[in-house]
Amino acid sequence: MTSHLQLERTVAEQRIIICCGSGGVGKTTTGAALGVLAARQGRSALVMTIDPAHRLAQAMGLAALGHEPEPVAVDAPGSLAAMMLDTKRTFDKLVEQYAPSSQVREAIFANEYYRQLSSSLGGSRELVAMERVLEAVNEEGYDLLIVDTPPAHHALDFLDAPGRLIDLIDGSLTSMLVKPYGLAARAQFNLFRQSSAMTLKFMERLTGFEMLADLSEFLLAFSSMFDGFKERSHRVMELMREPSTTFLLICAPEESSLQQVGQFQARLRGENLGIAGVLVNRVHVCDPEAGDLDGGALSTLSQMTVEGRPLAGLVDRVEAAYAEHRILGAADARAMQGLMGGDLPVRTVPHFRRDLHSMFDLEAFAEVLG
Amino acid sequence: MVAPASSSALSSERLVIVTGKGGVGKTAVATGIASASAQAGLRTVLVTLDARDARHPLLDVPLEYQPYRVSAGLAASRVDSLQAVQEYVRRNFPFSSFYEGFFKTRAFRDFSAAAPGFEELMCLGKLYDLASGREFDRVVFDAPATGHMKLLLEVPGVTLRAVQVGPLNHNARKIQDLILDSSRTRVVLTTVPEEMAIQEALELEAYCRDTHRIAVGPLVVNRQVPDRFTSTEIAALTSLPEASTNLREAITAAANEHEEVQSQRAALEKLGGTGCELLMVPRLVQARVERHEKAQFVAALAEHVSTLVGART
Repeated sequence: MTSHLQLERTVAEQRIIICCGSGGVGKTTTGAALGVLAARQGRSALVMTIDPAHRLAQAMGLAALGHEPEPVAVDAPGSLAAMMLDTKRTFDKLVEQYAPSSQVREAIFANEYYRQLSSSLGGSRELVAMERVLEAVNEEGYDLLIVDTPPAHHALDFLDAPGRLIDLIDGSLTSMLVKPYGLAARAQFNLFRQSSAMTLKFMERLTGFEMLADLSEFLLAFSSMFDGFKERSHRVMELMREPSTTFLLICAPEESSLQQVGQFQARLRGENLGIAGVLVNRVHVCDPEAGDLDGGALSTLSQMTVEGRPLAGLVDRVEAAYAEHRILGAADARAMQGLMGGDLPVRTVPHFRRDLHSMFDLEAFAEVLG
Repeated sequence: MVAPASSSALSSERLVIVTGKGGVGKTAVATGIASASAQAGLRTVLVTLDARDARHPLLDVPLEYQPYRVSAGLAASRVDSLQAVQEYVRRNFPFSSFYEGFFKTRAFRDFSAAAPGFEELMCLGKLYDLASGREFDRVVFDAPATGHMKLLLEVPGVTLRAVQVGPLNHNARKIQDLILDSSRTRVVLTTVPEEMAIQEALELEAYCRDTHRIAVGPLVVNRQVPDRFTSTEIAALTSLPEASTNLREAITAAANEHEEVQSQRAALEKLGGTGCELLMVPRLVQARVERHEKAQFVAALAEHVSTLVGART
């Protein structure tokens, strides 16, 4: 039977909380509010966001967030800091750390492919996010890290992404490309031309030589750092499997969002990862027993006056607002029916009728969560 | 119904790109525009790249690579990047059946995922084909959210810089020409009356208009809550000394609605000085679980966006 997700406990007991969910469900704001909750418990929390739209900064009432943690003023015994994850800078740092020589490092930095890959290739943002988490957990002395994941269509994207990047570097493509093009990029293009690999010729025709040569050069340089990278990603996975790390799935009360819960749960269980539970944001709450207004209520409304003047059409307007309220409440309850029968702890958060754009609002939101 | 023409109404646009922040109702607005376009007599296809749903969440039809007929004048399709690559190869390379086995190899999948923008370019290529072919008058693209959309818009330019000659260059050129042609392409941004969503929409609008010179507008503001009460009325209602349980709940509903209206109004003030043309769409309160409920919802949305959709002349 469904239990109640106790966020105060999650925030008090865990060391890393990873907020997953599809776009527009309130991940960023929820993550920030959990940080406030932790600070209230006297913990020292760091909220890390990857979002390029600087939304966390907006939610915290800060003009901008930097790549390094910035303290957020919060009225609490603990402390709260927030930071943006800068994919390019973190990736550059990794390259600096693992490049076997300065030539390799410079070759990677100069590579057109790397310049695009390090911020846009699927998987790089997620990998780098976890890399930064690893760094923060080891060095910066926070009690709790709250990680906001990149905007994704699906909650599982975050888990799939780092593996995709490693597979790519480790994959058959690298071994195929690195040899002929690696040589070609350095010496004679003709060497490549003589390559008998049909596949390569075909890919070259498909995309043009420059692109493949660039990709090849990149993979060649990267393969020299592969062991370092793989070791890091291994440690990232270990960190994610620690009992003190938990995943929180954030949803909206909509069919498309809630359909992801089952897949998410199965996947996390399969990989031996901890799940805190499901938080459903923006739920319209309506008493299911609420019924039509009776004659007494209608006559009370129709007799209302303000400063002696009757309120024209008030009965109809209240009835209209009430009817919509009941429909919205019933629709959300119906959408969540499947979830409520499951075995994951669930927390529904009432629809917040105000924009959350200041610390004051964020603290009010934390109050609701706590 | 023939809508009055406005300066921002679509006319001959072949490609209408609907984007915005995640969760603002892009799919709903895109479906509404597609449905209204079909009603206006344009043979329309609604296209998504979304690989997760097997069926369209509102039209309740299968989502496949080949456009699936929803009703007279309206079809829906999901462009899958692998199928787009295969179609591209078959068309551009003679004797490519020779390579059919190659599509199934790991190396090919790796390559396709790794080459920057390659899959995106292939998907855009399919949109180009649909938008310039004879089967449809209009493609309504239920596009990805802001971040991924920006990447998609970058792809043709990046490809043109990276690959100077050959079929890929040619392909990127065609797509770029289509997207930059304001008589053929329009970006319609969707938002909700919330500060963060509006902020993101304004940033994306500037990005489309200034960075890429793509025609953009109007801004569709979705889910506007009806403004039914004055603050005085709410104060009077909430201070009623005696009320039954139902009346209490009704008063709470009215007070909540009023609070939300005020918050939305404050958020909309951000748009005041921007000169953005707005298309307001009210919050549509109705269940959309059963097929007929979804159809009603789409019909209502189509009605609300009909001023945007130019009829065939």
